[in-house]
Amino acid sequence: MLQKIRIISLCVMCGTFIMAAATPLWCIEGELLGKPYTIHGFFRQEGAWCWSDDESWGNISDYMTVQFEGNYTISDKIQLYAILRGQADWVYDIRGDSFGSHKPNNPQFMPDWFDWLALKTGNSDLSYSYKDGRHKNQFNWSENDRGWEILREFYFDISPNDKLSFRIGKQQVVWGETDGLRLMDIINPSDWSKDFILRDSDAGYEETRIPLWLIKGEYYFGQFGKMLSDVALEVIWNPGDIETTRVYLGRQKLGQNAFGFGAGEGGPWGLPYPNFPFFGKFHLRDAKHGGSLDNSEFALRLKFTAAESWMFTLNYFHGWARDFVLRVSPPANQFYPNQGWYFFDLEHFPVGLAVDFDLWYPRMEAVGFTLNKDMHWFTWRASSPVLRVEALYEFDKAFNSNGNSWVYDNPLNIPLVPVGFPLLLPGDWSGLPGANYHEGVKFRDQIRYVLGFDWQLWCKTLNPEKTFFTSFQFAHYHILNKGNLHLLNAPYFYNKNFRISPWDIPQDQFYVSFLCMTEYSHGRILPLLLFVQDVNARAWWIKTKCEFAYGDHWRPEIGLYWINGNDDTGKSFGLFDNRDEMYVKIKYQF
Amino acid sequence: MKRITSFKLWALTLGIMLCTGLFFSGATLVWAQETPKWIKVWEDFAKQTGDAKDVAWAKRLAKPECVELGKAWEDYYGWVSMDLLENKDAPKVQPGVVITTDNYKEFPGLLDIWDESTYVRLEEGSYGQWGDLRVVPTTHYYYSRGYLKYTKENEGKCEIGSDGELVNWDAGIPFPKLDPNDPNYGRKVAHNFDRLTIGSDNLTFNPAHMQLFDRKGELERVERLNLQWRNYRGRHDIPPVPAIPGQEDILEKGSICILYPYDLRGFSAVRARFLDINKPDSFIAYLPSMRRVRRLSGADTQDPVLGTDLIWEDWKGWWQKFSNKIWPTQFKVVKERDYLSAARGVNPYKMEGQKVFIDWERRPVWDLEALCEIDTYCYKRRMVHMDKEWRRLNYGEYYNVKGKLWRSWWEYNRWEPETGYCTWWGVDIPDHDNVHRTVMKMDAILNFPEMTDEYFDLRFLTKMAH
Repeated sequence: MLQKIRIISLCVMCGTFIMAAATPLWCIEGELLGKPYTIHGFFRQEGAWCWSDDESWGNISDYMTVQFEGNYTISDKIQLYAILRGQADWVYDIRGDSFGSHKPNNPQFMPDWFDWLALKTGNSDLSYSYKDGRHKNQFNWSENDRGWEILREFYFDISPNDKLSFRIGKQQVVWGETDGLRLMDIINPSDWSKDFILRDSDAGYEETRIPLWLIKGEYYFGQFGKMLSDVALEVIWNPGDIETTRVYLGRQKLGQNAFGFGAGEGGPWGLPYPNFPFFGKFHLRDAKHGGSLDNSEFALRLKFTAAESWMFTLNYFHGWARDFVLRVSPPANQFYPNQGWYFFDLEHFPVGLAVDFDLWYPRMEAVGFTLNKDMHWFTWRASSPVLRVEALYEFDKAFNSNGNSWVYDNPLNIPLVPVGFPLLLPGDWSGLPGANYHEGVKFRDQIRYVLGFDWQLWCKTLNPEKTFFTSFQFAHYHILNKGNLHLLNAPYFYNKNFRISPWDIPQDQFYVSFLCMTEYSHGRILPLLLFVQDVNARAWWIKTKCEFAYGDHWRPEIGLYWINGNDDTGKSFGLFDNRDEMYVKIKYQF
Repeated sequence: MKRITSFKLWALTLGIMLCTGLFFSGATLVWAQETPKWIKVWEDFAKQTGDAKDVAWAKRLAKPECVELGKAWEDYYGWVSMDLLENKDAPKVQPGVVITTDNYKEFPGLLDIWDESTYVRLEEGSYGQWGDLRVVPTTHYYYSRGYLKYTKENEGKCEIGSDGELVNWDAGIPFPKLDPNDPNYGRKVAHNFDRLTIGSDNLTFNPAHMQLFDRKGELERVERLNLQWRNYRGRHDIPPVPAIPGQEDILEKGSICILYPYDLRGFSAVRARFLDINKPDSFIAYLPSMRRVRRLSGADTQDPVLGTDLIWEDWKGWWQKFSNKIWPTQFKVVKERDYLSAARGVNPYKMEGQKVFIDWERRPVWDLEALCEIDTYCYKRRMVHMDKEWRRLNYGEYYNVKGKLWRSWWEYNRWEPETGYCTWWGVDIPDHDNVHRTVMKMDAILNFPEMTDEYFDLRFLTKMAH
């Protein structure tokens, strides 16, 4: 069945491109029951090649997207809007097929990332993990609960009068304004299973945000005296469509040991599977909250402009965290007849204990504000910077913790102590009877803010016809009352030399980013560069691309991701240090 | 005797009254039948061409309400445009003539009533080549009743401020009667144009098309957008007049929303300009690719709008802030002459390929030169041919900091003689330096009466946001 779908999809795609080249498609406009509708959309095929040592220009993704957007005006007061999106990644077909039966007869055959797991087993058949990776990543409707995701957005806009409006249905609500980082943008979670946070980091995460079924109401108050204008109150209710940040665990890199379950199933952009250095392994369970009214989320936003030019929003959110922390799930030390208490020959070490962990999503409560102000008093070369501030105070944010112990400061300084695991098993959350399983999670308030400056600058030597849009951002995250508590990021990771170096969360984290874009040849050539650095972890990434907007329909694009960090410890962006890639996209829009 | 005398006196009085009545009614009859000259030329022209559209246009001009309004403006100025024509250059270019790529050299002096950049477009195969140019009579263009009322009421009140900016303006044409010996002559011509802006109180396109032509003159891209504009001060006809209560500090607001193509669709922006011209504009945009409302620098007005040849500084032909504090500029009327300009009446412009077809007429213009004194402004020099009656530009040439012709601006206006409202049919913006061209085609609703503040606040952007 899947094979048929693939063939049909490929045929549709090829046919569309050929047809589009021959007969340009225009947006479709018409009337249905005497009311106007429009249909737009695009077809896009991408290919990406990873240039890191692991891959040496191997093809790592071939995403295809077909998207249709429709807008139907039911009446003056009601509009229907919908997006249908189908996505596939052909790389599993393209590269998976290069293995299998061809391998034994081909002396030139070099194993690549996709083959590696299968090779490890010495089985020419695809490994379980690999198949699982394919299953998760090849089609966006592959997973059992993802069929509905073809219906990406579907909502009604209802305006009973000129003050009151509602948006009801599956939708995106965008609160944040930062580039390359997400801070206030907390309503919709993100899908980071494709290209992690880099995919549309330069374009506001419109494609990677996961739409939710929400009811959004807005009342426009207008003017309040002479000081406040454009005053509006937005109320959002999520009746229980709880989604979480989508990352797949289980991506091992070539040359590194794969421990535990699911290694390889996360695809090229999966996160490493949490692991112990030896003698134990993780067994994970997704403890995502189910869809019920009890799990409702609620959010408020008050928008206003003060003194004509200070554009404010005040925000409040009460819901569930989008990102997980790991929490021991009792009872922890289980026998798994097929998986636990067995000696599994992965390089050197036996695996003796499997520990159950939940991917746990605690309550999230946050308040914050955003601010925009044109700093016109600072005009230079016919342009002034615009100040952006985005700040968030999150109450009782959950962190993984090793209590007050710094595990790698253990007296022996030998890699015998699991990362992200308290000192020795009889600890508080060891999983033994009577232990407090939840001690591995600590709650602290956190302040996060971003200061940004957008500035359109002329550099007529480089571009006489258009300014360079530049945006510089400085981000600071501060944990209150951290003391000497040891907080760390999950999933845990360690270096390939087995020197334990957990990814600590310091009390103060700093990020900087820089975005620059311009246009050449009357908006037909659109280069862009985005740089983001994690100052603490000394890790950074660059996304640079160039889109070509010739004609009304075709939009080719080339670009690259360059990610730099400590690959050995896998901290911060170092998790993807070996995922540098160059990509090509070709889009036909109508 | 006394009775007879009284009778005679009575009869005499009656006789005088009758005669007076007869005289005045006769005179009125004669006046009513006397067709104003600006209509007569059109009636004669229509008779000559026999074209149904010309006949209909001549009839429209002769409607009583048109005559009344046209006459009121004529009375106020003391002249109409045709009175100001010199007719000394290119005398053969007269109503009825059709100038084509084949015969344009048979009209000596044509270059004297045009510019080189326009003239070369008559050559076969030239970039942005003109279609056939039909010359029609010089029309008496006037503005609305409200414009006239406020212009009269406020005459003499406006002044030039210390930074060259306009002060004490309320509504109407700031400097309706100009003295060529005034040291601010050129600047006042510029200020008059600036305050006529959209030619009415409200403007909406339904929608507008931006056609982008490449170096070969082939249509390369099309952008479709909704555009709304509203005067907040200097309103004349659509209540509230002359200002929107509570927002008296705002001069005008505009909003755009891109409908096509897909990658730009949904881009929306609201721009507000303040009465205090030294205050930076407020400029907020909704970026669909990011689904975000983002404040942009109000000082940045020199960037092309969405890859077109239009920049905010050129919006409406010339949207520079006339204040030396921002852009120190010298204004000078270098010449007064006849100029062959696009006609605003009978036929809307049409395009076939890259060729524009529209009627043309001789107009009296000021050649106004604006020299910017700082090099951070995109144009070192503008040469604008400002219509003496219409008070707006007919054609403008804009030169870059090196003195090279960069862009030019041809307006194709639409005018309604019954009300005096006007707007655009289209705009032609060639980029001479980079050989590119944007032609805007507008289908406007004249002085759209239902326009409210709703089109220009964050609500608008929120509604656009999907």
